[in-house]
Amino acid sequence: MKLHILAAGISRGQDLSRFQRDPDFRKATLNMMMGYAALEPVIKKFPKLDTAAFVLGSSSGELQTTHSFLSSLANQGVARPLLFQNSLYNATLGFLALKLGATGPTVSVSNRHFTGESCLETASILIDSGIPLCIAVAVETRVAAIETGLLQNYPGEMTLDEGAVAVLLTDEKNARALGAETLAVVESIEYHKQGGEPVSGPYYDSNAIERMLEAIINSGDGEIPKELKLSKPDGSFSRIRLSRAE
Amino acid sequence: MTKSAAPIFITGVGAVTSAGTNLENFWNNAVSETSGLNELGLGTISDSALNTLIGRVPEAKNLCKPALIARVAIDDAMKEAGWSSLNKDDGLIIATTVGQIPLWEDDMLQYLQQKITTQQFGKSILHQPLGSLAEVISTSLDFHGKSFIVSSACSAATQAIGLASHWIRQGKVKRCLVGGTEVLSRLTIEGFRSLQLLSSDFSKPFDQSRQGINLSEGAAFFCLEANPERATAKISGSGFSTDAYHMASPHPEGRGSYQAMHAALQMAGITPAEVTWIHAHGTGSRANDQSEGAAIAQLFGKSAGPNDSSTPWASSSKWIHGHALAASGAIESALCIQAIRKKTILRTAGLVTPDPLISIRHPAKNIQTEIRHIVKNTLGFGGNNASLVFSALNSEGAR
Repeated sequence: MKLHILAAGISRGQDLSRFQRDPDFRKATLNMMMGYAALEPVIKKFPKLDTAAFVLGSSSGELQTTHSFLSSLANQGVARPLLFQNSLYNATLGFLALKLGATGPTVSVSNRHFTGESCLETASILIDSGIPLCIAVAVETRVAAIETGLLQNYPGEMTLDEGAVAVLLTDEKNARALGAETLAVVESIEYHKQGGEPVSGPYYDSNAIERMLEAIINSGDGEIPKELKLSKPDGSFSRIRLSRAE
Repeated sequence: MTKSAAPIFITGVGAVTSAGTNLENFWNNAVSETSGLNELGLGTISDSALNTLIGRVPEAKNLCKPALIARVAIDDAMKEAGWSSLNKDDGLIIATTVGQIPLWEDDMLQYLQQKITTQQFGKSILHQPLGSLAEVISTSLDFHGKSFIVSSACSAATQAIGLASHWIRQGKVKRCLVGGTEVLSRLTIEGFRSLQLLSSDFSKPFDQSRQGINLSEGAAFFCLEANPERATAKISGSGFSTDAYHMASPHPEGRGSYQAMHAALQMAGITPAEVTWIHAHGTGSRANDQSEGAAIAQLFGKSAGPNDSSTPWASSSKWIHGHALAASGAIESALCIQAIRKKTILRTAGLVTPDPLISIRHPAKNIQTEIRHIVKNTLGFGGNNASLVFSALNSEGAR
């Protein structure tokens, strides 16, 4: 796999009110705003990404907007076109691609607890097909109105969280050619459908990339963890192997 | 994308659509122009048809509709390919936009009207993440390898097939089961209606009087592998692009669609002149057909009419089976494979008066001919475009 991480951004618990005042974000959903906030540090470091590939991963997609669309339909009998357009899984990617002026390949992926991992896997497929750079964004937002119902399905120690993360990825050859600093290298991802401890504490389905970045950031200039074990609510888990670039 | 990459072989195909619940039946209906659309302009798979499908594949009995039709299409594809099971080093990619929506949409509507409890709703909403569809299909196949969902709107299945072929070519999976499944829902029907994109009449792709699309449901799956032994066709190229133009409308000059088709031809290592047929997205919406027509004319040349053999034939089959959104690229790819096998190009059913502003070469009737290369093209909300090149096993020779 060997994905070189060239830039990264995390949006978690940030004040997004600046977007609400921005006419460009007038029709944006929370997923779109969080996704863009995560992308900002990446764009700042690499301003020209219009031809890069772009993979967006989300487990529940635009569930908050789907809830709003169906709520309007159920209670007022009105189907609102903007809410429908923004309710589609691909809407988040469509909006962010439009903001970036992206004309390269863009793909929306989803894989429940392994959504973050699938986002990286798809980026790896695109990079190995010959596209030098790939942006990967994973985003999940909470939907307060359905959270109580949803939580009953999960372990008692787990709480539902939200967040967005963006990484710019490439392969070794292109990393060298660009001469850019590599934050870390994703060596491989393993999937285990059972045998792990259910996750406890704050969790969202597509959080694997954020957890990976936290581990890289927390290591500072020291050794980064060679292997991360990422537990999921149902006892499944993934292992992400990391290294520093040589 | 990689130029002139090694082809990946199609060894099995299965399809369950509103216009036929197995591939042969579907193809025959496409050739005879027997539409699967109903009087409301929707392409549905009836409960009685579902019961028949369960008779064919009893393992599908407890699955909800999108998983059930997918499972039957998978079973047909695997039988043809001679795959008795999937191994851990195989892959599974499924395209869908609404996944297992029949398991939670009604409950959400009822919950919003306070007709069911939080506890009742909490069980059904667990099926909302699209990944739950991959989980149930994997479980029903006793598959423990890598799988994921592609949800890039109406280009999802075309992208999924392209990604699957890369995945095998890169040696990351040995073989790949790939396809798409989609069912109708309140969300999509009311949503597309609110955007005024639905036609209550049968759609008329590329027609001057076209009024909109017909939503439908269906599934199609493919067994892909590097081994050509049991193959009947191959995937020689794929190309993806993005419009960066509008959230719900394609670029009027088809800029992104041109780019995707161009990339697919480049990867296949062929020129536009070598393409026999373009199986277009051709939804019947005014904007889609205009955009796609412009892209085709730009890449393949403006057609002076049916007798202009300098351009490939181009047509749409949406009148037959409707628009199954994320699954449409898979359903129509199944027709492309059958076209190569049966040496038949389908005309655009429903087309009466071609739009003079769309300069593509419409077949006046179905055409019996050797087919070398077919371009399958798709466009999607969010500006996602994807194209595939399907080729005959022996694709040398004249167009």
